[in-house]
Amino acid sequence: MNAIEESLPIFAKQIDNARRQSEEAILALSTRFRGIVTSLDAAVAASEKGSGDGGRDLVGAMEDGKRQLLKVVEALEAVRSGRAALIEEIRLLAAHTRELGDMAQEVELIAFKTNMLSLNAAIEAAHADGDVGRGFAVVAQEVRQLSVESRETGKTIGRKISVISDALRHIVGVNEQAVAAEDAAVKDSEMRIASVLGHFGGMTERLLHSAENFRNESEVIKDAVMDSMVQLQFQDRVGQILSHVVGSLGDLAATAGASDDSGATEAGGGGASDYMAKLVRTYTTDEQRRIHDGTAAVAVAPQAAEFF
Amino acid sequence: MPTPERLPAAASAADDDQHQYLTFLLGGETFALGILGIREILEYEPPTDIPMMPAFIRGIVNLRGAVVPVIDLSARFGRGSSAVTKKTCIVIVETTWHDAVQVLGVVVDSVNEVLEIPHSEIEAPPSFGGSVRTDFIEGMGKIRDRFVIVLKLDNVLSIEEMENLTGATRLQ
Amino acid sequence: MAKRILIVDDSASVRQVAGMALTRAGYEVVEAVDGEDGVSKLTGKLHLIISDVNMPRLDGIGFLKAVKANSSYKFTPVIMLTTEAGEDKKNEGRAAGAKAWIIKPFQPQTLIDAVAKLVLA
Repeated sequence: MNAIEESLPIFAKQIDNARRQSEEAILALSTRFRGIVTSLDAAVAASEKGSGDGGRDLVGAMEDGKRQLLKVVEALEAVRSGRAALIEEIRLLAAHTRELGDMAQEVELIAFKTNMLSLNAAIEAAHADGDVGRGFAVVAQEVRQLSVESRETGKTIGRKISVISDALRHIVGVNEQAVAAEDAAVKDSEMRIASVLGHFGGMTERLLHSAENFRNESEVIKDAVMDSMVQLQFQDRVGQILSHVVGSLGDLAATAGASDDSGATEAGGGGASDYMAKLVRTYTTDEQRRIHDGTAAVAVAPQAAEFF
Repeated sequence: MPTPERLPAAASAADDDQHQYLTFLLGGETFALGILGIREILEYEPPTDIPMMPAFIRGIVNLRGAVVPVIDLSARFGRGSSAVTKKTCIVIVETTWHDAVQVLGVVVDSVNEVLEIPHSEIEAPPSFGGSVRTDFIEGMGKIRDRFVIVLKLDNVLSIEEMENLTGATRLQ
Repeated sequence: MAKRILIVDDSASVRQVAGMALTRAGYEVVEAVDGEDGVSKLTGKLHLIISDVNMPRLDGIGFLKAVKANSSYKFTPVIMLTTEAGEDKKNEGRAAGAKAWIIKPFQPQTLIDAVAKLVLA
């Protein structure tokens, strides 16, 4: 009896110790799991921001960017077509100038004919008599003067027109080169922009896709973790059962001690069955009763709630 | 053919017309013709060719119904023909031919102006050298420090040439 | 403003699992470690109470009765969460005014569904 008396409290202490350690370990594990789930929740929320509604923001931002880039292209196009229009204007001006050139040549021709006229008039004057002849001579002189002046004017106009034409040709040439260069530059820009937008679009797709994947995988992980945490609830039952065993060991020690005092005969039979009956009454779980009865332990599965 | 050794005398000092000359360009040289011998100046029109005529006779033109032979002075002077430009003119001149009046057209490269050359400004032609047959030179006229050849076109055609020409033009 | 739920259980693991499920479902969670602690935490607006049955000091039935006796909280729904499968204890709970009885181990979703069904508006 002494050995039991002595050892039972020790057993009780050791079991209690095991219970407490297990409780602490499981609490730690449970806390860690809770941390994982919280982190996953935060990560998914952040990912939602990057995709989902935020993703729509991203797509919106991309559309914005695209619009702005296209505006740049439009502006470049406008400059280009503005230049093209300018060149057209200059060409028209050049054509007009050519007309003026033709007119200047006509002026020269007229001057030539006028000169002829004046010479013929002079000839007539020479052949005519007295006053008539002198009159003619004056007219002839005036006309000759006119023809000389016209010719000079024609020449001057011709020269000026030449200068203008050359300048215009030069401008057109320069502008055409610029337009060609700009054309190439604009086309290059358009290509680059399209390429960038293409990449961007692809990236957004992949981002949305991977965000979705991430969400799905996170859900899977969370479910697995939550499952584990549910399993950890067993600690509660185990804890209860172990506490109960510790208590029972204490009672047993007391009973063993009492039967020791009261004598072997009395303690033996009545003490044991009293104790066992009392023991049954203290059970709180199904498994305890089953084990007591000797029936197989049944794994406890989560059950539905019952409403009153 | 008479070869003038002296300058022609002025009919009257008050008659200014005798001092007026038409200047023109021919083969790069400036010539002058007395205005009294000139009828009019025409813009160039291609003369109708007369076959079997010497090269210096370009052909004939119709001047208000009259048939006028056109000669190339440059060729007559032995220089070859000038190219026709938009300034090329035909000067219609009155010449004497053996006391008869002959109207001719003369092709010139361009006409310049009518101006006065006083008698005092006309010098005797050089007796040798020069590019033009002295037959046709009346003298050298001084205009503004330059000299121009004053032409006299009387008898610029020979009798034979004239007979051939007359015969040919009659047939036209 | 999130709805406030008091959870009373001596097992830290259970408080963890239930607390996390409730927080993720959008509720504000207050924890107590036994019946007496639970009574002390009866302050402010509570939309629902969840309680274990087997607890030291004051057990679940005792706590339930204390809640029903409190004029501020007698209409607050109480869900009992317990290892107890026995009919006797269940009847005790029903009689004392519990609204639902959930056996441990429980699936968090079972708890959340019951809470959603019973929580005060």
